[in-house]
Amino acid sequence: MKKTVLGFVVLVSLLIVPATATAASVSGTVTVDGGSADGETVTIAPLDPSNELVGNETETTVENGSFSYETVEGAITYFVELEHEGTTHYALVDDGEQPDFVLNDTISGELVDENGTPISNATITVTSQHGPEVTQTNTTDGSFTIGPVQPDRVYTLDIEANGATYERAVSTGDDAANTTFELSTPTTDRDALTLSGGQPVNHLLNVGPTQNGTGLFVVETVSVENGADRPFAGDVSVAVPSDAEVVTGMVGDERTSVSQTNGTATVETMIGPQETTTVNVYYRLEDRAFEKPVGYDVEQLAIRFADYDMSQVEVSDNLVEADAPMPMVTSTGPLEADDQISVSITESNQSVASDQTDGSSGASEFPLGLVSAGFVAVIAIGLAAYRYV
Amino acid sequence: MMGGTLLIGAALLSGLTATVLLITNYLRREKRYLNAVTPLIGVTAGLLSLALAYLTYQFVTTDYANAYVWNNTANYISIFYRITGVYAANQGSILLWAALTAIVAFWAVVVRGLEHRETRLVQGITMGVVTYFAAMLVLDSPFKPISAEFPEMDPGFVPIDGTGLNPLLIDPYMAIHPPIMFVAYALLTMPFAIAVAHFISTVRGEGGLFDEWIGSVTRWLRIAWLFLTAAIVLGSLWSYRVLGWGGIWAWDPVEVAVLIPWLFLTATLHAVMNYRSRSTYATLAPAMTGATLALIVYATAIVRSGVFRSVHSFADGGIGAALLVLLTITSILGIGLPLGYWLLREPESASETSSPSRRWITHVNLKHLAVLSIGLLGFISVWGLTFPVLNTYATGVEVAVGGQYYNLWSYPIVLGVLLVLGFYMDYDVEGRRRALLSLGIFSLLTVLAALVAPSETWTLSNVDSSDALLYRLVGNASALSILPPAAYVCLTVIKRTLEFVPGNPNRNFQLKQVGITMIHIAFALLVVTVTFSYLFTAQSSLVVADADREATIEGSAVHEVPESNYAVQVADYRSYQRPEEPNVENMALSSEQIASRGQEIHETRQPVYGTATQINAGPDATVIQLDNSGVWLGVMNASQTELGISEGDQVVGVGTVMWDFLPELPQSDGVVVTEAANVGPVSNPPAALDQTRVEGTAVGLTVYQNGEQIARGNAGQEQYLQQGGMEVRDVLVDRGLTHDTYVIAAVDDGTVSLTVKQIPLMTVMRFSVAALLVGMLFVIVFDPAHGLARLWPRVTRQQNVTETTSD
Repeated sequence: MKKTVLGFVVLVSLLIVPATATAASVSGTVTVDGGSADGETVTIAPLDPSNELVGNETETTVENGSFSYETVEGAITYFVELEHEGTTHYALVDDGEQPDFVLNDTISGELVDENGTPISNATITVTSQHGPEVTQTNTTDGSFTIGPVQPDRVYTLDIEANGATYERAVSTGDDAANTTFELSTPTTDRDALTLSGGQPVNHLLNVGPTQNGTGLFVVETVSVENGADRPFAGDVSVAVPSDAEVVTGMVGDERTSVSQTNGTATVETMIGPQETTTVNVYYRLEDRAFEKPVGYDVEQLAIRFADYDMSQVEVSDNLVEADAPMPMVTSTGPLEADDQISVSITESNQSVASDQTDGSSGASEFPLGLVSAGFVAVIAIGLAAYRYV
Repeated sequence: MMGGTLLIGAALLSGLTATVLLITNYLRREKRYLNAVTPLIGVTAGLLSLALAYLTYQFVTTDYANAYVWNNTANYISIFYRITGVYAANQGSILLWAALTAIVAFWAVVVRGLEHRETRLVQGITMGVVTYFAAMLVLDSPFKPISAEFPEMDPGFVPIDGTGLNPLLIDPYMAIHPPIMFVAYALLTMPFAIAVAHFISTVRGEGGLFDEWIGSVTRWLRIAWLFLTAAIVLGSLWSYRVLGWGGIWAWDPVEVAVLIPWLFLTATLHAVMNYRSRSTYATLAPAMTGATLALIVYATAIVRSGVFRSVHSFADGGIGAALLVLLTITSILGIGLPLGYWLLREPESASETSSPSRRWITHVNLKHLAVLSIGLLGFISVWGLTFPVLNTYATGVEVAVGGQYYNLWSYPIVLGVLLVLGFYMDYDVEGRRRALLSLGIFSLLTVLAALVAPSETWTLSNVDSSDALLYRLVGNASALSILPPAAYVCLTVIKRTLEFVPGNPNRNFQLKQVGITMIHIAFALLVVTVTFSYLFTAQSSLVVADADREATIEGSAVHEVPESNYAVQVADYRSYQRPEEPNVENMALSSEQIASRGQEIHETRQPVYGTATQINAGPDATVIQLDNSGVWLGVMNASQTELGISEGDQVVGVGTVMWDFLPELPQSDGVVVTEAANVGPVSNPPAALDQTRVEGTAVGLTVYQNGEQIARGNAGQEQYLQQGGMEVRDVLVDRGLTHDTYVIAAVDDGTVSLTVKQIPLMTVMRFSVAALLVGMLFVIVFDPAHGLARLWPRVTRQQNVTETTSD
């Protein structure tokens, strides 16, 4: 009797194991030159063919120089992350392969300026060839050592010094030890900058309505090239309408703060030698009209309109409607920095669509009447059946 | 300050004394100092209640000298939610639990006395639990001084405002849910003690005490079931209104953790009602009774210890270890002891030889099946909760068990439970042949209904071919299959009631049977409504771009909600903050308070207010005397005109208190050093004094269905700035006879994103829940064998209840 019951309980327990449990195990190793990674954390992210995470990341620890994890159904690669003494290392392994971390190399060197003088106070951020950060270190005297790191890899060093950022790549096992990095002192000379590049033009305004619809929201973009042989680190300014309320700015992909004085919005910018970056200034206007100086000598300037059509738009004479798939105006020819441009938007006769649907998950309507009638009928018929059958 | 901890310490002492006296008197079969025990238990209960009352008083008066108060409330919180702050975190809720358990123990000892020897063991175990709680509270007291939070401050420092209450707990349902839950927990301590005492007595060869205590056990269990059910219902109502919880039930670990003891308690009730000494359930009924508290502690450990990553880890750390120890003790006593006894000591096959009949279908076997099925439901939940933890420890891989696991495994068992229940109710009044026939018919109907799915919505789950076989099998079944078993239960229960109740001379028996009927019909309806309300919730959404402008227009546009028969109109749009009208006096110290705190606040940053009675402008600073006192406000690098303050103005500023700062100004004892930006008139305080805790936006909505107005109300969100910007949604719910209309509004800078849900059968569900509770109340009061109505006012011992009164 007891054995039967116990056996039954065991059987039920085994049966009810959630169906996720079957998985194979993979083990990897960690070798540290002159040390050990035991007790340190390894994070495993299973990825599907489009590099999306499958399920959750898992964590495990290194024991006796090795670690293991379960494979996940649907994952074809595993992004494995090892944290060791403040540095992080990465391995991308295919399903079925074994991740092995070898930490036996170092990156070291000295930072000097163009005269060979060591650079004090620099921050060096090391990123792996897979993209994520490996470690960050500071140097006060220009010399630095990073390691242990993995051999035969390309590491990128982002060096912040002199108010500029320098990017250098090193390959371990090759030129990684005792390298001298010459970092030329940045220039603050605005003359080094010219407008260049940018899509579709190197000076562009995007004009649209504000959230409440009564004013204008403008994103002004200038594409700036640093023609000098050294980085540029200094202010770049954009002429904005005098009544503009500047919201924020962006340099490249990074948000930055903007200072605003008398129709000029100034953004602190860093541009590498011979490189181009975009400077964006976002501002809001109370009214649906503005006038402003161009601010730069420019070959061509364009203004693009979102949510307005060309019949609503009036512009100054130096601008003309462009042949483009969206509402847009361009300058009639090159403009000078002092030239004025103006835009005004009139109320459209057709109202802007204010209702938007973002989909709905419809379940079919519940046939309450039918179901309850059926339910009650079954009970009633049942009661009758018991009585008369 | 330490008064509260002293109260608990005294309670620990008296509880410990009572426990030791009770246990030694039981073991030595004597009555030494036994007269002292009842007063001691009373003192313990009184002291713990007093500590609880004192803590509540501190909350109401916002006494931030207590770190626990400071952590769990704030000035702007209303009196009601200040009280609920008492059990917002671990220490307070353990105190509540301990006090309630002590009161239950005191009640029991007053009613039963200590004449019988086993009573001492039972009370000893109950008081042991109370003592353990008291010890936990002494080690981790809810009366820790505020200096524990601010070790760097001088002694005597008291903050002006608290940090606030977990926003999720600022809800009327959540306010009463925990105390009701803890009442249930406290009540379950008694049956636990009785069951453990039973096994100790049985193992010692003294024959056990379950026979004698069965009435008492039944009453404790039933009342506890009533409270536990009410607590779960309140919790569900709460999660229904708080967005992101997936309606009334989301299989969150904490919800599962509460469901386990509930299911187990339900199974235990059925087992205990069929307990017969030396035959059926001689071991299982007391064993299950004992295990319930272990499961309760298990559930609490999960909620409080943070072992599981739950959506709502209300509180974590510290207390977890103590609860795990308690879990071990209760498990050993409540589960290990009965299991050991069953394996090693129980006379083998006594139960089998005692039933001469070899027939399979008997009342007893059907009850076995019911207990087993409900137990199995509980086991699915236990396993779903435990498996991820075991798996994490065993393999290091985290596996999440989702709602689908619980739904799909539980569904067929629920169908089975319904069919068994229907059959039992039928078999109770009809012959074996007729009952079997209708069981066959309804089983067949169930299988057929499972194959009929009028549309995709009817299938239980979206499964794909890679899922396990059972998932595919159950997942593809139609929800229609829930109807035949539920109808079967309603049919047979009604029939049995019609057979039993009319004409029975015993009024109490009639009322109890009505209760039984209500409970079981409510259960069947609950299963049906839960299933359908989940599957048939329809949802559609709409964005109103200029809601703030529309709100100002009389008779503004009515927006059709796409793919639904709803339309909405924005009638109101407002942003607000709490506290509504910040009172400077609540946020800043008066010059008098600054002076009286003296050196303790030297070089600390403090807000101060007062009337400017003298203004001296120097080259580098302007100094302002407040209220003719020795306290001055020193504003660096600002002239009087820049400040715009003249003598006689009410001013407020935030700055660093420096005593003896200006020796050249003899009338100044101390200066609050600040800069122009942090000073202003009281009518327009500086930003540094901004004490906004909650920023809310709400829209007033009028909801139309098929062109008719069905509801008006507010929806929106509130952001709790000092709780990490946590957002709480305020939803608009219109309760309808056939369905609820549920509107969620996400408001952002004039734009409102509305989600309109139509959830069917919620009112039937509410009705079922009410019937469940009222039905149990009937059973508790009117049960002819163990009911309160018969029992009151004196205690009688009831043995060998006749078969017909069982259910």
